[in-house]
Amino acid sequence: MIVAVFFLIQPLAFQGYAGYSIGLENEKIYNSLFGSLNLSKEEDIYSIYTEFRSNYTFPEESLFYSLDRAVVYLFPYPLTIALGKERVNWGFGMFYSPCDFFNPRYSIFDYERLREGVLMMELGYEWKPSVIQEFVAVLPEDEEGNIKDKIRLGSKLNFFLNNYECFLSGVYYDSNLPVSFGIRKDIFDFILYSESSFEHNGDSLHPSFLLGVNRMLGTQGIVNMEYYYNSKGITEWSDSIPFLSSVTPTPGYTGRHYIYFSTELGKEEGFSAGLYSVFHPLWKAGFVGLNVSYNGFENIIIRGTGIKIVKRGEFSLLPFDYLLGMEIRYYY
Amino acid sequence: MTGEGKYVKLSRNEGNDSMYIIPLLFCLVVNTLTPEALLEKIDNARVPDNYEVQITIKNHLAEDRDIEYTIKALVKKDKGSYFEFTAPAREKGRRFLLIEDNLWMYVPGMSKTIRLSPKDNFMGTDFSNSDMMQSHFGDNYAAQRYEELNGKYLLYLEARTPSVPYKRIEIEVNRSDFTPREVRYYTLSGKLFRRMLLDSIKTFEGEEYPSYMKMENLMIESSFTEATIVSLKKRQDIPNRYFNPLYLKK
Repeated sequence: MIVAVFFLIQPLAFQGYAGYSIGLENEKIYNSLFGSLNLSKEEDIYSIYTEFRSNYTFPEESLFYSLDRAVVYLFPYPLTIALGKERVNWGFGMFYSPCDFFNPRYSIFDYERLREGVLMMELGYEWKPSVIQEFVAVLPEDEEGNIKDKIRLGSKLNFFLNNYECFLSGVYYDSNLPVSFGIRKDIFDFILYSESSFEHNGDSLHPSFLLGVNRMLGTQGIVNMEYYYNSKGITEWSDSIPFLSSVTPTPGYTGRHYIYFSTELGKEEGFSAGLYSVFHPLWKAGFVGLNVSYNGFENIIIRGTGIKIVKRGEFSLLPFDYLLGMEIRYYY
Repeated sequence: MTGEGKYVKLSRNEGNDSMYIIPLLFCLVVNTLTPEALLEKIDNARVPDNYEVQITIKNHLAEDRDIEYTIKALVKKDKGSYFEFTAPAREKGRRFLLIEDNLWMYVPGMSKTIRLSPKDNFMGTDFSNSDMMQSHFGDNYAAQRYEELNGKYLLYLEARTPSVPYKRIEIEVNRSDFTPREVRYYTLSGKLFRRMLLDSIKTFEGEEYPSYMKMENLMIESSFTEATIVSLKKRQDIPNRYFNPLYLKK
């Protein structure tokens, strides 16, 4: 509502893209028209953002749309106040993040790592430039129950220790109180990061852990690798069969150990190629995707994608063995 | 002449020496230009302390192919540097923030703010992230000594920390106004790696600054990137909120 009022009285900047894609999945062809529109207004004391995505697929005639962001920020320094729908991304992990208790998980096939925001209210306070504290109340949309039961509260302290970027956080949800911490530093041109979370559930303590590294490669992208350990995950795939009869698992999240890898190599204008994969090293299961892009035309990217599933463990539940796609995207 | 300062020739006087020597000594002290003072003058002549600037960057990919970016930057000397891409469309909204040696990037649509190394190339150009975003040499480099040659000063700088892209930098500046005209960047092994030429002195808000920079990568033949300042204005009122990695997306 507040966002709508702002939009009515303010001129807005806009940007986005539109495109068409065709895909082949187990000898079945699908087409889609997709687009994104971002509207924003930025002043020194406030800013407003909306991000909207849509995708129409045919011949199935299915329409997907998502208002990823609709948020107002106010900056009465040293305070920052945010209200609306926004991504609350805690933790340093690019794909896996043990400290993220607010968002739905990424799809393993989403190489762009797009994510819908959550209804939230946030208060940030800058104690000093290197020490900032955040308080947040989040209302996840996809959970049932009354607001009091669904709401998640958290606080995060961000600070620097001798150029080591650190955070310490605590979250309260559904009678759980997980605590987390993370650290990040650039070493020899690489960025190393790690984060851990500890959740006490009943009589047991559930740790999860992430170790990651990334490095920029020109304009085209980033090489990024992460190892994720989740003590809540199952160890043997056969153990999970009774569980699976009632719940469909999200591939890439049911086990204890995962390796995520993505990279892209290329020139600013011309061809570039990238690999991305999620792999369970003990089950020897996962998938690998290959992207080839051409961006020699102004504001246009043409991209071909191929994905191959290694169908073992949880990945055997996926309905296809491979996926081929081609898309053209125009940025405006 | 190797310089730790200017030399003043004192002439003998038959009369009371002290009445001349004291003022002359005073002049000597006033006119002494230390390497540190020269570096400060160069930094001041290059850009103001706090400012907003519009820059176009042209990266030469091949003889007939260029890619051009347009950037709006906010710089506060005691806070950091904030860059936002305004063109081309596919890069619009990409943001960089440098605070001391820490650098972050935000890409619209992506959920997370990415941390980068200041030594990496800036968007695939011949500038490093640090070259582009660090306005003042004095933040990361210590002045060692300088020489005077052909109406110019040649100042030698050494890295204060190993986290910066270069071990050593040489700066040639005009003696008259301390405007830098050529900067040479050396690797850890002492090899000349990059060279930046500065030209087109223009007046912005009553003061003159070099508005054109050409960075050559001497390791790759014919590889260079040009940066041109389109507009520059001093701003004392830049909000502190821009210089916070948590608020890059806000």
